[in-house]
Amino acid sequence: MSNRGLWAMALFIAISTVALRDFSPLPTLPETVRALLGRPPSALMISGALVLYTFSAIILILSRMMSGSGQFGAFSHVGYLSAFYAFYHFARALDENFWAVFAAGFTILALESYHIWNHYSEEIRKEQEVLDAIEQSRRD
Amino acid sequence: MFKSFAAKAIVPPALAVTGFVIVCCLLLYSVIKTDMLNDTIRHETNLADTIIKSTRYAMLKDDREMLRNIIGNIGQQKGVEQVRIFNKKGVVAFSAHHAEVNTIVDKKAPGCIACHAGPVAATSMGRMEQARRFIDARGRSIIAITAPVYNEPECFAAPCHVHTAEQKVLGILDIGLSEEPLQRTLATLRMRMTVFCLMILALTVGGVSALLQRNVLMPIRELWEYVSRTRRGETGLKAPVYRDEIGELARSFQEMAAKLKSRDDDREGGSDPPADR
Repeated sequence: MSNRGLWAMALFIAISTVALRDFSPLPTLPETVRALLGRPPSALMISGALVLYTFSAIILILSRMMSGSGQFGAFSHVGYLSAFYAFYHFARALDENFWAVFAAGFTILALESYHIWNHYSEEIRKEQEVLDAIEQSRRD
Repeated sequence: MFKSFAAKAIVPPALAVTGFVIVCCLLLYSVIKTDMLNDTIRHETNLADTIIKSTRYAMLKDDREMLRNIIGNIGQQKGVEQVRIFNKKGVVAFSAHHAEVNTIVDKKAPGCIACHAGPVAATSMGRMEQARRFIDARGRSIIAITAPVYNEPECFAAPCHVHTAEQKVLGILDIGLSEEPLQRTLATLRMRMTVFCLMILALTVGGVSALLQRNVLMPIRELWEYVSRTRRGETGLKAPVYRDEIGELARSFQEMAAKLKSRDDDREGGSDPPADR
């Protein structure tokens, strides 16, 4: 369970590696599908959404840290970040904005991983204390 | 290292603030870069329009000597890497580099392919589509503009010209400016933003560390020393005084230690211990 943050980070890095090459290893979308999807939003609009998303994701993780909640959303963040890569790709602005999405993803997933690691370390310590108490009572 | 109290308090805000500032800086840099590039292209397009307007009279009069001089003088301007006029067939008629006069322009070159991708060349393009960026043979980054010289009634009606009224484009003006000033400005901007990010990181980590040290870690260390000395049997110690939860904890511990000591003293004296309240 505590490895979830690392798995999410590994998945994000793998997706980022493909995105760094502007998704060239993947087959290109046919023009008909592109036409069906419509005109992509402007790079400025996507950047605004990325700032809002990063801000709210950080606030959400910090509030979870504060409340000691055991909820995690690392994989959903990987999904959102991949969507940003896709939007920038279709807006033909991925080259300019790749590192911004990568920095946002790295920050969010590092915070989430730290939260997961901290939470489970605490849980393990509590379990260990209970086990020590049981062991002590057995000896007495 | 990450299990310490200080790390638990410093890592999340430092990571969150620095990460967010880096994302904002990268996006801001991208937006500024795009704006500056568009401004340069706009400036270059205006320059191309000015050149076409300046050479219009010489073209109408078919004054090739004057045209050659104008193009040559513009080419000597600092930052202008190339300026040439070629005809519909792609033959360079005038150029600041005399060696390329009468040579044929490659239609598959980066700047030409935009118009010549299809079987029929495009005759009108948006202002931004007229621009192209490439690295020249000498390894310098260039932003170039191709501006068409359109046919006008004065052109096809002039007695010296052979253009027909149906011919829409008579030639192309191709001007390339060095990207060096733009790249220099962007490098300065990058450096300033990096310094800004480092300052934010230092302020976040430093500020949180200083506040934590003064308000939490130092009182806890003093309390820990007081508790350790009391546990070793030292008596008459004064608990650290703070007007917060740590101070409250220290006072409670001092009271508890005093009560335990008086109970022990009473037990050693043989009297009954006082009842707990």
